[in-house]
Amino acid sequence: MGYGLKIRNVNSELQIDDKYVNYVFNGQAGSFDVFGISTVALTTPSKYPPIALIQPTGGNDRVCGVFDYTYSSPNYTHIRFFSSQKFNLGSGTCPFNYRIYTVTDEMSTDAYGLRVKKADGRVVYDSGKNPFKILEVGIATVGVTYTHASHTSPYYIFSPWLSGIVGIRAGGQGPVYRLIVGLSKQSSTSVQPQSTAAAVLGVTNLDFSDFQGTTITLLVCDPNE
Amino acid sequence: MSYGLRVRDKKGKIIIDTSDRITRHAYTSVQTASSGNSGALSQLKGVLSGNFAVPVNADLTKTAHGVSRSGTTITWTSYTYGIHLSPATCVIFSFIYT
Repeated sequence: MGYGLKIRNVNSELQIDDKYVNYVFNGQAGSFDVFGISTVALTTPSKYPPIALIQPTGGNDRVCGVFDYTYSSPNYTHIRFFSSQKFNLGSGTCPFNYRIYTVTDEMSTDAYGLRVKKADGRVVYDSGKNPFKILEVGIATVGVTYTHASHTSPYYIFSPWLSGIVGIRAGGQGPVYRLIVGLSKQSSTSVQPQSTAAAVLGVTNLDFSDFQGTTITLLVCDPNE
Repeated sequence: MSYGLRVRDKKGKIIIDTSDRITRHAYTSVQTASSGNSGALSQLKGVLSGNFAVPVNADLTKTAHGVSRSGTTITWTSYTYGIHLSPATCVIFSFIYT
């Protein structure tokens, strides 16, 4: 580093420097309790993709997740969430909370605190903005409870929402189910990835199945409210 | 406080302290609906990271990329099944948290 600012904590871990930009809370948070897709329009569409944290809040057979971003050149404009009930158990709703984080060039309105900018003028750190924090990263297996004992009622990012496909002949011709894996709350310190049927893509005369995988990457996060 | 940075808000609440870890954005890449690929990220050397993908403009015939890390390389892998499922364009993220 020829010049600029670099701050480390007492463990010599980097906290702030002139390279990294934090994703900060953009003021959009809320709850849904639906079966299907829910859409949130970003209050400030941006060329930078947003981050959405989710927190499933009830029903240990209810699943949810971030489905996708809507991009309309040159900006990301919406985030879509999916929520449903575990496969074979019906079409119930899933209650969950969400919070959205973005990269922004806007400075906080705080009159004092700490604000660090990059050489190009972009804000690297602003004590008046709240970045989310990753607390723990692990691998979670579909159908198996993942426990994060040190962290109570966190928010989550997970990836990917695994895909699967199942054809059921059902005595002649039957449906082709499209499966998707979401996250289900088990307790305040545990969640479980579970599959749900997201659509019927056609009919088949065969019994078959195929799955993208059985594990997801789980990021346990502090929303830093 | 022996050394380091401590920042308080106007009410006196500590916003950042000498022992805090701050999650920092390290990498974003938009990957089209092609096969898997990878990238070497020198900034991941010696630190922990969370790596993930989010689809863009998907529908229920699309699939999300899986993302993994080995050393300082992250790899994203797509999934296709016959005529039914094909990969979505995905945004690949990497965040450093130590």
